[in-house]
Amino acid sequence: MEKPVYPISTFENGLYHFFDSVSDNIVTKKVVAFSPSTENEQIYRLVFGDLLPNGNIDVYSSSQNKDMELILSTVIKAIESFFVYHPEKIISFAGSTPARTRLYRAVINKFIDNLENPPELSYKIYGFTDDNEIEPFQKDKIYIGYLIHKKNENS
Amino acid sequence: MKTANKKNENNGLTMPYVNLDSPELKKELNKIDVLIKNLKHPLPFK
Repeated sequence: MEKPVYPISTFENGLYHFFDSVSDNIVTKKVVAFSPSTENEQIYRLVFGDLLPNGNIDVYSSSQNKDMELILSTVIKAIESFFVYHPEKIISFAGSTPARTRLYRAVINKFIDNLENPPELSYKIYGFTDDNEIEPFQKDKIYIGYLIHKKNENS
Repeated sequence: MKTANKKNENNGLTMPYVNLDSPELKKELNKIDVLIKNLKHPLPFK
C-alpha cells in the first residue's frame, strides 16, 4: 500500500517540488530542489528545507509539526518524481548538521523500505565514507553523504 | 513548451521563487561537490 504523502507541486521537469507541512496552527512551505553538481554533470545535489518568504531555503530547519513520517515519505516521492524526468541522472546529498545527517539517513532507510512494495522501482544506493571512499549503502553504517541512482536495463 | 510543461504538472500554478544562490546554501551544496571531488575512485556508475 502506498504511504500517505503531502500533495506536491512539481515544476521545471522535476527539479523543484513544493509542499506544505501542516499542523493545527502552522503551515510550513517545504521545498525539495535538485541542483546540478559543478563536479559531475551526471549528478544532481538534493536540497531540502523550508522555503522562506524571500525565496531562500532554510536547510537547517527541523519540523515542529510532528509530521516527520509524512515529510520523509513526501521527500521520497519527490525523489521518485525526479527520476521519472531524469532516469539517467544520479542524486547526491549530505547532511548539513548532525540532525540533518540523521534525517537523510532516515530518508534512505525509509526509501529502501518503500522499495519492497514497488519492485519495478529499483535503485542503487551508495554511501560516502569519511576516508573518501564510496560503497554500497549498508543500513548499520554511518556515512557522510549518499548517492542514489536508478538502475537501468544494463546495470 | 516550458509553460506547457508547467501547466501539465500543476494545473497552471506559478512556481514560487527559489534562491539557490544564497551563500549559506552554496556552502551546503559545495560540501557535496567536495565529497565527489575527493573520491579516491571513480563513481561506480556508467
